[in-house]
Amino acid sequence: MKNRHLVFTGLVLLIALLLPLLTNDYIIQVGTEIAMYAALAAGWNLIGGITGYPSFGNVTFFGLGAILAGAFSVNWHWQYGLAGIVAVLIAGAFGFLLGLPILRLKGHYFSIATLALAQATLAVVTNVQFLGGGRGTSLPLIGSPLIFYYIMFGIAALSALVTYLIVHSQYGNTLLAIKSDEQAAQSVGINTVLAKSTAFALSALLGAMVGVVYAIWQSYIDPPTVFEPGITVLMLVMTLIGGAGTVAGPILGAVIIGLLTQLAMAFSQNASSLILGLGIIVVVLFLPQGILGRQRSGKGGKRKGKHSFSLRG
Amino acid sequence: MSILQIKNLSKDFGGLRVLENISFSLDEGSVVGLIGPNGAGKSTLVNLIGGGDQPTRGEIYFGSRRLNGLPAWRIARLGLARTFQITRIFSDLTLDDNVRLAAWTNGWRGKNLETEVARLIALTELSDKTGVLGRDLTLSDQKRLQLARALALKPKLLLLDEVMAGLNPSELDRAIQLLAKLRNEGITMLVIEHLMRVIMSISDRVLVLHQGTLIADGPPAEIVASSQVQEAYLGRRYVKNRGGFQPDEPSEVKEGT
Amino acid sequence: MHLWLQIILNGILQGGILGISALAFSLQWGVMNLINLAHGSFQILAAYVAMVLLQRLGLDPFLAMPLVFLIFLAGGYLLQFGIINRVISGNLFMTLLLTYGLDFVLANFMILLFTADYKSVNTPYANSSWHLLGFQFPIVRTLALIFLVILSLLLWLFLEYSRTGRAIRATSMGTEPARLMGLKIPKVYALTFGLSSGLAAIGGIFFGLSNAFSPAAGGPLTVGAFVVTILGGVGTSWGPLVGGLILGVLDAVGSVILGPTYVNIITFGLLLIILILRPTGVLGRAAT
Repeated sequence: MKNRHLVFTGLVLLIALLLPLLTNDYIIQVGTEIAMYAALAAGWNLIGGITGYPSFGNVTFFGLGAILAGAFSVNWHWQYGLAGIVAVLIAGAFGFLLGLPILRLKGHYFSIATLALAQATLAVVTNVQFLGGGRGTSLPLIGSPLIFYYIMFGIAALSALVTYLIVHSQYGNTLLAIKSDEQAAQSVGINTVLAKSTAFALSALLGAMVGVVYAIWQSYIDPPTVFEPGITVLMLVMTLIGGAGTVAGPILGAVIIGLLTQLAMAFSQNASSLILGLGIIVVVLFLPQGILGRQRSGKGGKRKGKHSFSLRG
Repeated sequence: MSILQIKNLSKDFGGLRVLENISFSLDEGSVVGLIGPNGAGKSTLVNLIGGGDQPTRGEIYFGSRRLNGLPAWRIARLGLARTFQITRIFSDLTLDDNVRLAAWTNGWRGKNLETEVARLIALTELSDKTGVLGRDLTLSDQKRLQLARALALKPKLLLLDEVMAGLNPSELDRAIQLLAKLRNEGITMLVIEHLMRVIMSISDRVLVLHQGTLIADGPPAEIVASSQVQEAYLGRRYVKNRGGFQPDEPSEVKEGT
Repeated sequence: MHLWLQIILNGILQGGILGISALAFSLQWGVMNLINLAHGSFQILAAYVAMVLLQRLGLDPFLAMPLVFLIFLAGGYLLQFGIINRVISGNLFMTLLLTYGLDFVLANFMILLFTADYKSVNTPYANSSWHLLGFQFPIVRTLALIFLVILSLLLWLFLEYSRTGRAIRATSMGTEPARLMGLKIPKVYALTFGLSSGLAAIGGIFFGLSNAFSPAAGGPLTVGAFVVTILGGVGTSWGPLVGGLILGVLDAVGSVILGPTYVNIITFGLLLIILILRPTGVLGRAAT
């Protein structure tokens, strides 16, 4: 079992590292995007998949990372490295502090609050000149596409490693316990507020890291684009397709969706969106546990309370 | 020496008063039964003590520590553990991870952690279920798991909310023995139970809740003989006509029936 | 002073369109615990239908309204019965995801049919106003508010006194008791979704009459319905009216004082604050 995982991981790493040797710019571009979404999805998985809080606003941290790094380097002439680190830390702190009140909300209310969080942050950004206002920010072009491929790939690998370490620790079990039953978790002495907010902050750190690199890679930041709610939904869909709560799930999901999107793009932009929409519906209806997700047995998987009935039965 | 003190406790849900001016205290090392008809407010009382909800009025002291306003997890860390009437287990974790997490959270580490987890699982007779996911456990296993998990907190006080409901007679006997053993270890217990047989055999003292008020407090024999308690449980007419109250009367006797 | 009164009046009248949209959204949420992320796209689709009926058949949108209502009622019924019911008993966010997928499909379908350009439903009265006591009453918005009051009343009467309405209310309190009463829950759900789709269509026609719209306008409409529903309280008959008026006035006044770009900060900031402080809304039941 362990060996198989090791071989699989090695294989993925090898392919990813060698890929640029035998391909053109287009493939590298696609590869960078896939790595980017794999990292974002892995970040989402920490709060949405493992802790069970389906965030619809994780794009907030991606956007904040991009916007802040851009603002620091353009307005204060900071090096990208410093600007990036400070941006990531601010986004992480933002996630932790906002997590404290928002993670008290359950179910739909949490999802809506995070959706509102992303929109409210965008609204603030577009009204603050320092952050680029409504017009966006241009950054000096640096590096080659290949460098960004390796950086994005590094962040994706880091996200997977963080997930692996969490899943195999008592902290990971703490988060799973919170997902199962928060009141029971408290009854054994777990500070649920702290544990959840920490997970949200970790999720924010990873998202912001990707955002920073994205901004430098694209060398232009358009606020509505980096706060686009659809980015959060992509993280969610990828995680779900691959298997929520698993280490490899988000990455697998990012690869599948990434490749499918490219295929559909060959027909038309519009068709690719339409196919993505249909894909989401198909996954929800026929693959609700994801490819790597554990098949729930017995009474599991049913929702407690007022909707615990089966219409199919 | 009292370990738990409840002072003039009341709880309203909306306009409905569920608990009215409850006062009592528990002596360290004692086992106290809490009985009363369904809807009397027993689980609400346990929930208030455990910090799952806040009282409308009144105070709760654990030793010299005031519990009002403390979050449930902090109360648990003080050594006040509880089980839930409707079982609440971590369905995504295996049975041993359920216990391990509770023990780890309360400071057990390394080798000691594993020894303690094994001891608690053996104590609650769940050794053959290790590795089984919480969601796949039977109700009876879940009840025992809740107990093991609560014991992982090294509790000074245990609040047991119907841990024995649904057990068969032989399981019941072993559960009673287990509680007796815990009591010998010096753990104070407040036990909610419908089965009079259990209450009679393990309690030093019995509290009776009826419609949110404490209507009796005394040794088990006295409680069983009390006409007020019989009325509360069985209704006035029943007491008059039959004039009797079987200590072994099984559970689920509803008000006014 | 007069100017401010007119601004507040504009806000109140804007509340009509917001409220009709929320009436549908709140019904689905309250009865089925379903957040319909495709809600806004339903409304935009209805606006396109009204536009086509006007352009091709010369049918006035108000005359077309009953027809569009029925089409959406039937469509919504089938959609819930055939697809949404299959996942509604599962994980909460699977239904969220499903409706997001629907939204994606609908929005892109509309782009294919109507392009991404802005369109409008051109009627002679779309931009005219009534004048009363020195104030302007834009015709469409005034009618929207009147419709909202009437629809709220009708919905309340329907839920309170009709047999079907009572079945819906019983189901909203929990599926178990409803099933014990012999109700066919999948059908009650389908009916609820059909009814709210019909209401959403009416809201969409009003939106199309008073605003230029494109397939991308669905998202903001959904979010607006969220905010109004949260403000008024989920699953209350009069919540959408109250929430619509509050948000309408706040947006109108806020955009004058702070500038129109700040409207989103007000809307979403308010949503966050309400969620954190009082998630049951202004008229909502207290949490237990």
